[in-house]
Amino acid sequence: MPSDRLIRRRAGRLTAAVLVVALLAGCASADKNQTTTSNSSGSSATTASSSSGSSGMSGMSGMSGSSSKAMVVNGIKAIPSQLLASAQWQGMTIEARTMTAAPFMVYNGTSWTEIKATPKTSFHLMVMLNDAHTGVAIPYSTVWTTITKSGKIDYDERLWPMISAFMGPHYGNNVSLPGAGRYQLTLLISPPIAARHLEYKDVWLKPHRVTVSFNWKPVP
Amino acid sequence: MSPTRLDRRGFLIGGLAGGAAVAGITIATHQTSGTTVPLVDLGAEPAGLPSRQHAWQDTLSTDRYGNPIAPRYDRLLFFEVGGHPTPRHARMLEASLRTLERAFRWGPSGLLFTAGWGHAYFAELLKTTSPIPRATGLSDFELPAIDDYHLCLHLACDDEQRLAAIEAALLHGEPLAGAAGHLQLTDALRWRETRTGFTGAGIPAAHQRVGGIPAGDPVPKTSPLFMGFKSGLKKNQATEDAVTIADGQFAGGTTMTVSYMRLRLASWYEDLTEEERIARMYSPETTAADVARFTTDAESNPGELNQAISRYGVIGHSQTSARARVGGKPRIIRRDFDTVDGGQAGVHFVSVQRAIADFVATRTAMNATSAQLLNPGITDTVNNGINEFMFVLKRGNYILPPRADRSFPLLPGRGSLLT
Repeated sequence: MPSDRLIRRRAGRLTAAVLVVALLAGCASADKNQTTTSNSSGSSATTASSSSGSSGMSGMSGMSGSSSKAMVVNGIKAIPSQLLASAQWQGMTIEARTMTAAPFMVYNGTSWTEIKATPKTSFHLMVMLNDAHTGVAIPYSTVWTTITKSGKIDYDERLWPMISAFMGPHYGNNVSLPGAGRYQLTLLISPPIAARHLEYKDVWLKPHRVTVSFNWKPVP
Repeated sequence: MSPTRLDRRGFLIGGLAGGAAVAGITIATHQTSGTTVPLVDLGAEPAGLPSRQHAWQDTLSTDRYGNPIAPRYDRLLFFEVGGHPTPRHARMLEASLRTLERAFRWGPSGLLFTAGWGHAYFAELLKTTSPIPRATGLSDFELPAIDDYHLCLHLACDDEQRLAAIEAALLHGEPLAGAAGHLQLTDALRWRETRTGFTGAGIPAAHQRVGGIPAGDPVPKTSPLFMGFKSGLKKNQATEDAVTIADGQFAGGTTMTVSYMRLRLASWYEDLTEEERIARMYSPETTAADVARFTTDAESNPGELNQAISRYGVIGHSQTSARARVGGKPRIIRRDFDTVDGGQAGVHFVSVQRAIADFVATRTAMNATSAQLLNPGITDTVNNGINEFMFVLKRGNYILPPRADRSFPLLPGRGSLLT
């Protein structure tokens, strides 16, 4: 591995489910009173359609309306994101979003490593799991993502459990795709491993798969 | 269910309870709507073969520490029974297997194989209680397709071309050099899938330019497996005696689980140092020097798991899996091998054990899901062994009867055409 890829710092033991921290804030904002900025994304997720699998995801029909509002809060600038697809599962909203590739820190148990985007990175993929009724983020799950094109696997990773200023808890990683085209995105959502208040005792107890197709092209 | 169906099922159940004579009539009834399987020449079975199909150990050569060296190439052939099973089906399969036994010496230099029967064969075809449960997903981060095959033939030897030739003979009637006797199975069995693979120093490195493995040829040149470490040390394995079913209808047999896992080793080789890979494969307390000294076992500090969780924030695959041991002894025999099926790096994890529950216990220990409750920096797929580097696509459970019962076990009337 190139030495310049890693910046290792000593860190204390985690005291919360903070495994990954995005250095640039994600941008799915629930606060619509914030100032909006333009989309500076270097990539674009466009349309999504044809659902299949254990549950289908509803894809957006185009870019219009799929970008969240960008904002600046306390000096942290949000980066617009595009909604790739969304689905419902037993009262959980599953959203897949893309945004400009971002560096982030990962924790290996005793130290932190910065994961930087590379020139080949197509976008930063984020999956948000939220209570569909309250909008509160649901942590402690695992999201395994596979992206294929014409049956060939182009991306196959467990997303990092991650937090950022505007997204809160979510699951993310940088993704590299070989080029423009139509892809299939599959998410395997694991049951959250945590103590649960009683309202959650009977839901999300088995792994759940959602699948969607989407078109993607790099921004020139 | 129609009255006709009820009558047929009731008749079959009667046959199961009543013995061969009644069962034969049942089968004849079913044959009226299906293709009749030719009555092939059974052929003789060579003398001296072990009564256990899974008795491979004594044929394997060993390294200087006494660790068995697995056959270098493997092939899994999956079938469903063509039509309703009859004693002629059993005779055709048995004849083919005996032909292979006569053609090739039992061992890696010749051929090793097992015939395993799935849950669907017993529950759906024979309408009887299956001796093994249907496979399931065994972690919260997998949702595998569950194989419903009736039969799995596991072939293994040191000659890859031989396995290909045997498959061609069994499925297509191609001539097989050195073999005399019936071979083609397709009148009795419908082929559904083939999986291939290999294990042994140098073979993975020669096959590493596939999906799932990053560029730059990172797999060590002498590694027996894609992940760069060895497995199958003799004390890491159960013994064949230990996995053999002691009593009941399948006494002398064993059970087998076959999982197909896709490997994703980009971050394994590109984001982790050798030290970090060792921590995840063995334990965070394990050093490179320790790995070099692993000659017959790699238990990897299972008793220090809580320390690893709290102090190091990372736990090892061997460390967590070893917690499934009983009295310090592993519960399964690994007969796994790497694969490039579909142009993708993967593992066909073949495991034999006395009961499927032994595999489930081992896999559950490997998951180490509860570590997250002690240290949220460890999830089931973050800093947790090798869980995040493999993704289970398919799984099936099988029973491996003793050799004498390997062809259509429990089928009423089978014995009448196998002598």
